[in-house]
Amino acid sequence: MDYKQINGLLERYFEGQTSLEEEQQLQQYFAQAVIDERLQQFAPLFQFFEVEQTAALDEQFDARLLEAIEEQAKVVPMRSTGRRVILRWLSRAAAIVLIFAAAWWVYDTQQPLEQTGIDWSKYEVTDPQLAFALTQKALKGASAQIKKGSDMAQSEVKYISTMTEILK
Amino acid sequence: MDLNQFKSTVLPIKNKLYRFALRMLGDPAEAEDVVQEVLIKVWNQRADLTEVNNIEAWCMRLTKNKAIDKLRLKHRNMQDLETVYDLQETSQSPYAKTAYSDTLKQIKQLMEELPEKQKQVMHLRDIEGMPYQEISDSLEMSMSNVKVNLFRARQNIRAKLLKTESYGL
Repeated sequence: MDYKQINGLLERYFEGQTSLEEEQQLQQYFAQAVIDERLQQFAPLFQFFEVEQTAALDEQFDARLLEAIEEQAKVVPMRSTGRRVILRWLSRAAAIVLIFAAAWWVYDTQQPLEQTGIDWSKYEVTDPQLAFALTQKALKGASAQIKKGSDMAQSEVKYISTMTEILK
Repeated sequence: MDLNQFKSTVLPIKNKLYRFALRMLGDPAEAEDVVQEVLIKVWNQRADLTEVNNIEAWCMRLTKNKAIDKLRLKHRNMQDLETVYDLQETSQSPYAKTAYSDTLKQIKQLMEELPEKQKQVMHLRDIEGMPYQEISDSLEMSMSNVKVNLFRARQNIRAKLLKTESYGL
């Protein structure tokens, strides 16, 4: 193609008027070894387009992609079936617990409601001396508790009065 | 769709998605992450795939959205770490290291500087050679918007090329 033709194509290219075929022609022209001097300044543009068409992923890309897909296929169903198995066992266990609970409840409510009260008469003290000793012991214990309380109150009062003394 | 169908219909567009993500993000590792995430999502939604009439455009949309998410995250982090990191230099893939002359790098820079939509449209048209209709589907943009953005992108690039030319670069 001569200068005139190419220059015309270039004009139309920059106006956005060229077809894909014409753009192909431009690329082919600028890929040649000899280019008209007057068109030289546009050569790098079309050479750039051509070089850019060769950019590609490396050869291991497919392998990496397929591995990632497989990995994913493994992980996803495993998790869901795992969960399903656990759920199945849990529901069985829950059913068994429910049956036992129901059985126990039925058994429990059907028991006769007899009050087995304690026969206190068996423990009644008949010996007056023993009765006196027991009473005395009980009173002693009670008075000890009361004394403990008053001691504690006394010490508390003391503590408060010293505190107010200090805080004055 | 089984794995073999996935391999034969979806996997072949991976590089197209990768280039688009790379154009938006500028970082090969991030672009690859995006493509992997997109393809895994496509695989997981393979049941709906029969309703999608254009798998490629659908994948492109997913890629665009994921890349935008990443860009936003990056932008936020960049604001946080503005003073700590110099994020000007993004790592380049092996192809870029070998094939890039200074003039090509300059063009790359010009394209990087374009507004996001112009950049996306120009990439899909000039690098991927896609028809307007497909670009419109992929970017969820009306046909007239696609054309306007392409026109502006090309005008932008031309103006910058002529400017650098006049500076004798």
